[in-house]
This record gives sequence, C-alpha cells and structure tokens, in this order.
Amino acid sequence: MTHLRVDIQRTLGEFELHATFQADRGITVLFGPSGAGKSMTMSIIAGILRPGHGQIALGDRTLDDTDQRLHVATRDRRLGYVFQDALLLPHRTALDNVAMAVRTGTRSERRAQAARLLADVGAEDLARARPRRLSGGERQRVALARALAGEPELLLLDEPFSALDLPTRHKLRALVRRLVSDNRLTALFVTHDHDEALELADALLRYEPGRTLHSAHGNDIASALRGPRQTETVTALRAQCDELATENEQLRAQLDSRTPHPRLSTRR
Amino acid sequence: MVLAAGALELSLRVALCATVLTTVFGVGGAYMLARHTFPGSRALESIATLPIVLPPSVLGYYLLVVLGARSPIGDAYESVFGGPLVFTWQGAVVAAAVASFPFCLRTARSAISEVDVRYEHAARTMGLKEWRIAAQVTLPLARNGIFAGIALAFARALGDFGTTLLVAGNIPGQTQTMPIAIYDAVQAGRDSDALELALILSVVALAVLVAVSMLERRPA
Repeated sequence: MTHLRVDIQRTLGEFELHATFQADRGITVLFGPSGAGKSMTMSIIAGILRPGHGQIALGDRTLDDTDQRLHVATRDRRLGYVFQDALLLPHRTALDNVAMAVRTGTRSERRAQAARLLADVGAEDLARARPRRLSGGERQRVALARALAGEPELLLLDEPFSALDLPTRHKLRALVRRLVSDNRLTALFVTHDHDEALELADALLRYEPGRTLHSAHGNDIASALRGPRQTETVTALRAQCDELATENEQLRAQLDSRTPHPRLSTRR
Repeated sequence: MVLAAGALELSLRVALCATVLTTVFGVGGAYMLARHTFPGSRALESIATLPIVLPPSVLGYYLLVVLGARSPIGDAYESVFGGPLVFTWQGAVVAAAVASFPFCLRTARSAISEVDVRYEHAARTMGLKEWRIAAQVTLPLARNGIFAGIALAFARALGDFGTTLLVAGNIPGQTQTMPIAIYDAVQAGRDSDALELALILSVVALAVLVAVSMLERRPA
C-alpha cells in the first residue's frame, strides 16, 4: 500500500529540484551524491521548506498542495525527524529532550513515556545526561527516541549515522530496522553510503543532481545502487570485449588461410 | 554619607525598575527583529537604536515634550495617577529605560540571531507551538547574550545623567540619582561626597563588566 506520495519541484538559486516518488511502509533509502537534493526533499516533506510547486500526501492526508494553496505546518504533520548532528537541545537533559516531544498526557506521564522510549533505544542510562556529555552514537539513540515520541506516521532520517564509526553504525542500523518494523512506520533514510543503502533499503530511490531518477525494490536494489553510469560503463566494456573477440577470430582465420612461413611451419 | 545612601537607594530603585521595562520590551523586540522580517522592521530597529547616538540632553528634551503635562500622554498619565510624570522618580525610570533600552535590544538581538535556526526546525518537528519554541528553545539558547544585554542596560540606567536630569530634574531625595548627586556635589565644592559617589558607581560598573565578560565566555 502506498503511504507517502511526493511530487514536488523547487528552485533555490541556480539549483532546481524535481522529486517524484511513492513510498510504502518500511525503509525507503534516498541514495545519491551530495548536493543532489536529498536533504532538500526531506525539508520539504517536513514542511520546513515549501515546495515551489507540487503535492505531498501521507496516507489520506494532503500535507502540501500548491494548486490549492494548502500547506500543513510542520508541527501538525506528525513526523519524526532525525538530523545528521542530532540537534538535541543542549540546555536540556536527554529525558527532557524526549519528553518535550511527547504530545499527550500530564507532565509525569510524558516523562514516563520518554523513559520508556529511551529504554527502547537502549539509552535508559543516559536519561539525566546533557547532550554535550554524550557520544555521537548515544546522541543519535536519544534523537531516535525523540523522533518516535510524537507517535509519527513518517520517520525522516537525514544521514543520521554518517559521522559515526563503523561498529556503532551497524548497531544503529539494526536499531532503526527494528524500530521501523515494530512501529509499522514509513521511513525515508538519506545516505550516500553504498553499504548502508544496501543494508537498510526495502526500496531505493536514486538521485542524480536535482532529480529523482530511478526507484527500485527487492532484488533490483543492488543493481540500482550501481547506478546508470556504472551500468553504461559495464555495457560499453562488454561490447568492446565482444568486438575484440570477433576481431581476434577474424585475425586467426586470416592467419590460418595464409601460406605458412617456411621456418615457422611445423607441418613440414 | 546620608546623601550617598539616599542617592544610592533612589538610583538602584530607578535603575531596577527601568531594567524591568527594558527587559520586557528589549528582549521582546529583539526576538521580533531577529526572527521576523516585516515591512518597516529595519526602520524600526534604527529608530529603537537612536538613543545610543542621540545626545542625552536631546533625548531628554524629546521625552519632556512627549511626556510633559501639556502632552496627550502626560495628560493621560495625570488623569490616571493624579499627578504629573515629569519631575518624579517614575519619570526618572522612564528616562533611564528609554536611554538604556537599545543596549539590551542590540545585544539580545545579535545573540538571538546567532541561535542556529535548525534547533527551531527540530522543535517544530517535535510538535512545539511557536511560543514554546521561543520560550524553551530560542531564548534559553541565547540566554548568555540576553543576560549580558540586561546587565549592560542596568549599568547604563544606573549611570544616566542628561536624560534623567531633563525629564526628572534635580530634586534631592526624590529625583536626584547618583550621577546627578555627583554633579551637585562638585558644583557645591563637596569633593569627598563626589568622590564617594563616584567610587560606588565605578565599583558597580566594574562588576557589570566582569559579569558580562563571564557571560560571554559561558557555553550556551
């Protein structure tokens, strides 16, 4: 079932973005080089930036429709956003950061819910710590808990682990997988890391500068990751190999039909 | 000594009341100017900064015209409170507040402008309303600069001479704040009184300067 539908255009200075795609529940990876417009797409879906033209729909709710001048404010979109540098509020504890994002209940209920969320991401011991005392991986755990606190329908993750070491990344990828599946979320995950894309993607959306190019599911993900340029190169090389082989055979045939050189001949 | 104690008490009362006014309008105005652009916002900021560059006596003269008994504002004040605003300690509060307001506004505005807007974006994705973002995200992140601005405005309010003199006059025990008392003491040849008052004001000014520099070095 298609959960998120995006068809947007936006110009920013010289840069022009055209993004058209649909995403189902599970993780859709937005993959491509830096400056291709992946983060801009995320900002527009979150309502931080407005699309110049187009529509965004989540389930049966329209979030943006420029034709109808419809724009739902970020805080009413019910989404969780994990930023590359976490952006936890530095003057609040980890628990406060999560509790502020819990939308219902009394103060003590919100704090209890925040504590449960921290436990769910394996950060229960960090509740009283200020963000500057946390490691990069710990910060992203807290940021994940905070993003889930508003019971979102859509989770946006913008290169959340790109500044972390590899073992931490592996652990957090597994955590994201579990959280998305436990909460039956639709998640968009931006990365330009090939392995990360391959490990996480239920579906893949490939970006070239300024536009979405190709979307792939299941077995096609790995080949989509190689990208059109690499595929073109491989095809060209194959053609060249075939050509060389034909040429080789022709030369061999020519050689065989010629009168053999007396000194090289072994037949006599 | 009696003179110094009276002038100090009056000066502190005037400066503290002025600082409360300055904080409310200065920080509120700084937030508006830093986070919203609207038609005339730049012009408004320039006008609000005017008291820094205007000679204090000119500022005092304008306030006297605007707040005097024959002006609409002065008239309204008199009909509500039963007495004039000018030549009272409350008049000195208004004079000190107007003279010190731009110091708070400018310092707070630049501190708020420096807050990374992405924290506010993050707060919006958390579902926070705009007033909560201002109160719980932006202003706390800019608090060192805001406190520095308030401290500067307090020091300026405590030291105001020209504006206060024109609006509130020089009535010992009523509107004679410390800077005016120093002038009075020098005029009358009471050098030890002048020295005593000058030292007290210098200590306060130095304390504010130390506080501001500590605030500027503190992490957000």
